[in-house]
Amino acid sequence: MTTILIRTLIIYVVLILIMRLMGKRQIGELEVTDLVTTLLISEIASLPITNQEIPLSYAVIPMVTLLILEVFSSVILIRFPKLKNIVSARPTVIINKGKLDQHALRDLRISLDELMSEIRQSGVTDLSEVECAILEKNGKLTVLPKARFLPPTAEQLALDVKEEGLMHIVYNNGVFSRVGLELIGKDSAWVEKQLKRRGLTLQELFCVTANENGKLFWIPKEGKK
Amino acid sequence: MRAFIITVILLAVLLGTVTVNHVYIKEVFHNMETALDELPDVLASDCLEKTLALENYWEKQVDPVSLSVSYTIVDRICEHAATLVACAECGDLYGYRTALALLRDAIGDMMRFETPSIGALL
Repeated sequence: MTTILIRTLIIYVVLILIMRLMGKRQIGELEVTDLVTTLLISEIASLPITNQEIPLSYAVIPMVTLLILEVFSSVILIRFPKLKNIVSARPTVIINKGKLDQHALRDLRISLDELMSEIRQSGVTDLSEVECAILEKNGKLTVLPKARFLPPTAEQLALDVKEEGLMHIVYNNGVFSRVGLELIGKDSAWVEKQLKRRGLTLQELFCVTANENGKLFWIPKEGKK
Repeated sequence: MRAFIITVILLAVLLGTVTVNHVYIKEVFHNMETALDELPDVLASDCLEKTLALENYWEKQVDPVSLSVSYTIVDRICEHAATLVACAECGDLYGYRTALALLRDAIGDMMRFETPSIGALL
């Protein structure tokens, strides 16, 4: 067990270093430490399942160790932000004020095709429309279009719009959602009353959503009117 | 915060389990080693009794040891202990000495993988 514990620690540190050196391209949507933990846990968990020669502790001890390392490292990184630069990458500005930083692109080993693909996925099709593009530390590209290509906001159009609030599920398949009702500050009697006013009964509905302003939306059960 | 507290408790449980396990494996190793040291190099009259005692002791330790020691090593120790008893019973000196050496090697492996060392870690 002692050896397994120390081996897990070594592999964790080595994998973090390797992933860090590989750069943001390999990360996807996770932080380096999260990715390493996920990679290791998925591999370790399958070992005693497929190989009966291995005691269960060979998987349990490393998995618990990784969980502890993951929680502790996140707490340490919050307390000492400077350490974060060691284990995770910093965001990199690729396009600033409409100017493409070719040096940054080379450093990140990202081709122009890949950059264009990422920009298109953000809803922008023309490179000249981009004011700012930042490769975040989780490997995702944040794209800010130039102001003249952004859709106008209600404020810019001087429109008076009300905050609608989030719609929450209050009734689902025959059961009232206590959490949903609490979030909109109403009770089940209120929902029933509102439905009755609209000539509806709960029996004929699949689900009901509502917001705190009293806005109601429902989906009837299939086969019912 | 709750997750952190649970993690701290888990760390304490983990370190406790690893320490207790290490002490236990070390004790089993020393008891086995002492029992093997007490066995004569030649087949004496008390050989069978001593090898049987050693095999009985090991059989009692198999289940707890198997929690943390590779089944391959556990099986090797079981096999060599049984061979040792059989050879002592039928008076096969060559087989007895071979089983004795292999059993020493197997319990050595059990302890080697439990002791943090460059060899075990790499």
